[in-house]
Amino acid sequence: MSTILIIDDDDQLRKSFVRLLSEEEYEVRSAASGESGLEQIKESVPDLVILDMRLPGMNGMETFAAIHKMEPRLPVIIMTAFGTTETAIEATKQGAFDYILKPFDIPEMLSVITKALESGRFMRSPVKMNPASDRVFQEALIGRSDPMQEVYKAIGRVSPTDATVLIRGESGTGKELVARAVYQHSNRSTKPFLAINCVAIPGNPSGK
Amino acid sequence: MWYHLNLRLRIYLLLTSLVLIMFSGGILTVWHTFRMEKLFTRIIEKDVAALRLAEQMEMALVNQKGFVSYYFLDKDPAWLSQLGEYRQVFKEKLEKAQSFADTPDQKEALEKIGAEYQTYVETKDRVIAYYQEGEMKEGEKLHQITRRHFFQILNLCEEYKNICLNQMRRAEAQSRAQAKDIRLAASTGIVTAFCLSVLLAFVLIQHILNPVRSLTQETVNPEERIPAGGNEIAALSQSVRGLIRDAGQTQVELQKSRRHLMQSEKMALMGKLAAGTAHSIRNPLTSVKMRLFSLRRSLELTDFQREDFDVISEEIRHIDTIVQNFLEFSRPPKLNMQPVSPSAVVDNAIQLLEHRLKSYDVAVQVQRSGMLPEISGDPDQLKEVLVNLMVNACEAIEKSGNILIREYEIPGSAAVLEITDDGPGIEESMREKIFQPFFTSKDEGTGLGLSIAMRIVEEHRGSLDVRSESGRGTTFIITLPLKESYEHHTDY
Repeated sequence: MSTILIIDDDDQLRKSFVRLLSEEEYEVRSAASGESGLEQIKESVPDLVILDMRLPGMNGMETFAAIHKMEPRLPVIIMTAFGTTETAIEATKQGAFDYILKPFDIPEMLSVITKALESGRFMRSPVKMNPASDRVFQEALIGRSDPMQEVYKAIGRVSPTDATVLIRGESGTGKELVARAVYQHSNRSTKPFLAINCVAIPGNPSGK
Repeated sequence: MWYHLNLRLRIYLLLTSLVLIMFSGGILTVWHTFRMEKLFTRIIEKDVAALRLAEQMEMALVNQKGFVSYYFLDKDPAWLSQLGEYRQVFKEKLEKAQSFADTPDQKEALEKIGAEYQTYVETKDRVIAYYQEGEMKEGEKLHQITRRHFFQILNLCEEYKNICLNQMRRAEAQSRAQAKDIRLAASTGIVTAFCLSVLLAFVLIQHILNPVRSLTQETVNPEERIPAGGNEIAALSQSVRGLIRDAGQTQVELQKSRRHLMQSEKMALMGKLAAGTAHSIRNPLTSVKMRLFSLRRSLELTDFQREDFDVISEEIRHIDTIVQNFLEFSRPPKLNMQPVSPSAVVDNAIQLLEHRLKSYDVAVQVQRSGMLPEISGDPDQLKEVLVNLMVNACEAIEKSGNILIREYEIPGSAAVLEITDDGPGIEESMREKIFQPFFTSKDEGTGLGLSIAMRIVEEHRGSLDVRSESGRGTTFIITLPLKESYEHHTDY
């Protein structure tokens, strides 16, 4: 069960979040300020943080920077009641998973949460490439054939470099697993991993 | 010392000196002419007269000569009476000469002449007496003496003439010396006056005309520089008038910008207020939404209840729209400028509102002679303006109606969009207020739509006007500057 930490100074909102997300079968913790939120993360790292921009004391951006420094792979969704393009860009540039405007659409928010948790899991759960072990992980690259050996070697060759890697293959062949394996073995394994579904982005993502 | 005096004092000093020099020169000239006149008068009246008298005296004396000898020859007493006449003449002339004589020299000489003449006359009388008595020898002897006296007198007369002449010469020399002095004084005066004039000119040019000129050059635009030979003062007064005009304009602009500043201060305050308000409203709204979501999911709802939920959700959305408008209004939109034809924006807006227009039963007609030229603008913001105006029109039209969008170009300067509806129009008392924030005639309006539209148009350097007659519809006129004129104004 995934743990979600809500950091917002509005009591009712926190309670509503707890209620809603508990129904969704998440374990929900909450903090009323950035400082206490950071404390909780230190105690035990949640799977996702939902953070309000406007907080008493330490503000949202500062809190986010601190969380990100502490747990770079912990996905953070930033919420705000009024956003400017600058803060939205700044927050995502700093590595926030998403930036959501209150009052958000509930189903939309739930889907963002699902995606964020998934992304966090991608970053943290290692992709095993040693299928020799009898314990078969749910997420592992398996296969001992020569072509698979070549795949492992290729992963090993490109992982420590800064080269851009294009992984091709039919759906279901495990492109994402390879991508995660490359990520986890790369020099940037402490930085966030971001899966972007290009099909979901409207318009021409390479344009503009 | 000179440079410690102020300019006014310097000019006064120079002018005073010049005037004094001219004045004294004039006085000197007048005085000199008087002197000359006096001198000439004296020379003519006295010295020349004295000279003439001396000559007349000589003549009279010479005339006296011979009578005694004639008398001695023919003993005619007529000669003696003639002698008496000439003696009388001489005496008169002598007395006259004495009356003219005013120098000691002359007086002395005349006295000598008088004395000598006296002796001469007496001696001559004695000679005559001798001759009358017949003592010829004695007479003859004495006659010789009289002749000596005669020449003596003649000499004295010559001397006297010389004295007179000398006096005339002296007077002449004196006047010449004086003339020389005056000439010297006059030349000095002229030179001094010239120097002072040059100095005055220098002061005037250096301290008045040049500063005036440079002042003029500074105050006028570089293109309208006055030529070097121009009239500085006229140019200055002209440019000062220009400055006063500019100052007036600046004053007006200052007031305008002060108003703008006040406005933007208000806006800044409202921005803060709006941000705070948004936060305080949107947090509970979010909470409400989450609770509603939970409730709806956990409850078996009847249709009526479902409708309740829908209305609540709709109202929440409405509240959020108000907050959104409020935020937008308090935070001037950042324009994403790009070349765009207002006609394209119109088409876009109509397309966006297609369903809405149908539901209001409003027909839109566009009147254009071709796509308007491109302007520099933010298509989204402009679309918002049009949508705002058209939705307003739809809401104003009570039942079904028409909206006419007329597009035309003011060649070289602006693109104009006129949005006319055939609704009830706006009362005159309200026409002023419709662009004010939070003014609304609708129950559900935020009162921000038109003020946001106004601001977007103004951000495009355009203007948004309204023309309306109660009962005969309303026309909103959007004037947007063309790209060229826009670029011209901003000096890209």
